[in-house]
Amino acid sequence: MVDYVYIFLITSISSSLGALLGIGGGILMVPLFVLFLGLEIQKAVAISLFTIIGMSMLVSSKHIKSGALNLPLGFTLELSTALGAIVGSFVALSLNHRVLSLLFSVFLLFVVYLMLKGRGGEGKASGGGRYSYFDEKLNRKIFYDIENLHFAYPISFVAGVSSGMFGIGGGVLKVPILAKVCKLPMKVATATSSFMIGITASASAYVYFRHGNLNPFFAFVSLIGALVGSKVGIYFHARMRNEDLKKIFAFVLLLIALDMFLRSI
Amino acid sequence: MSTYSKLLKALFFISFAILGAGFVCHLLHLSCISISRMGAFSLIFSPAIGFLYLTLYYFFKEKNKKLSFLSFLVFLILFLNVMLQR
Repeated sequence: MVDYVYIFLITSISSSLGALLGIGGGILMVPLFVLFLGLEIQKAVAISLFTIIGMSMLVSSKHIKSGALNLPLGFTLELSTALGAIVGSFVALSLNHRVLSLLFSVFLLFVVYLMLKGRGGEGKASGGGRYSYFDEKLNRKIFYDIENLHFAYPISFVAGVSSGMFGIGGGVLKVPILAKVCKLPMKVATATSSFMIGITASASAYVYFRHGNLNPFFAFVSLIGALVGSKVGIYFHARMRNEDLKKIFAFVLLLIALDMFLRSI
Repeated sequence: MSTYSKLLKALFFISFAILGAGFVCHLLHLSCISISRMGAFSLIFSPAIGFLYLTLYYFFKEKNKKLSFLSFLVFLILFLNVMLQR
């Protein structure tokens, strides 16, 4: 029973922080499951991926209504990402959990670097463009184009591999790809990334499910935690400074990376 | 597209309800792991069903063969991922 309480707390905290930063919560969920529940990393990854699928479905259903989600771009890039996710999950299952923990700690350091460096620009949010969405805050239609799509395919594949290996949705990699490489406005980039991470997670989650790594009871409690956490995160989103939060988040990730590194040696 | 949005929500809550039923049975010490596993599988497979809908939507409603084909390819990857591992 205590495990369920821990899972609920971990997923609600991760999801609220994820919602605050717009990156999903997988990057925090997996190490916390490992550190607090003593789960094998593969089992932690399975719960994280499962939770990401559910949250992505709910968030995407909202973004479709607002028009911020560029669906054709999302599933065009998803072709390479989903393949990468399947490859990544098979690689993870074949690795010793110590090796995987070591790789995860290195990956966390890379994420810290990405977060502190910034997640990308605002894209071409004005002027003419083939695509558009209505920005409620600015109260006008924003037009934009998609650029450098050919560069985005291989990077999406790498994002998929990391998702399959480490149980993250990959939002922390996909948002910069969409905003910086494809030059999308940030709102479109985060909405499209939210949609994509669910598909990527679905591709790799089945591999873990099939190999008996997914505890469905833990997964259910995790979903409830994520539902509560994302509501809390969205509530505080408008009330907190994003830059300060990003630095705190990066510091926490740094500590987790260090702890996981020490456990792997 | 609003139908797709509703479909995603419906698939989520159906899976969530099945998982919830399995969890309650588990708390009551009834042997019902298969119900929970069914709920978990339905959530994992939901995005594939969503892409099947998009394939039909782009083909019949938008008459866009390219997007229909691309969404079918994503469906195929997710579907084969499940079928080839069974």
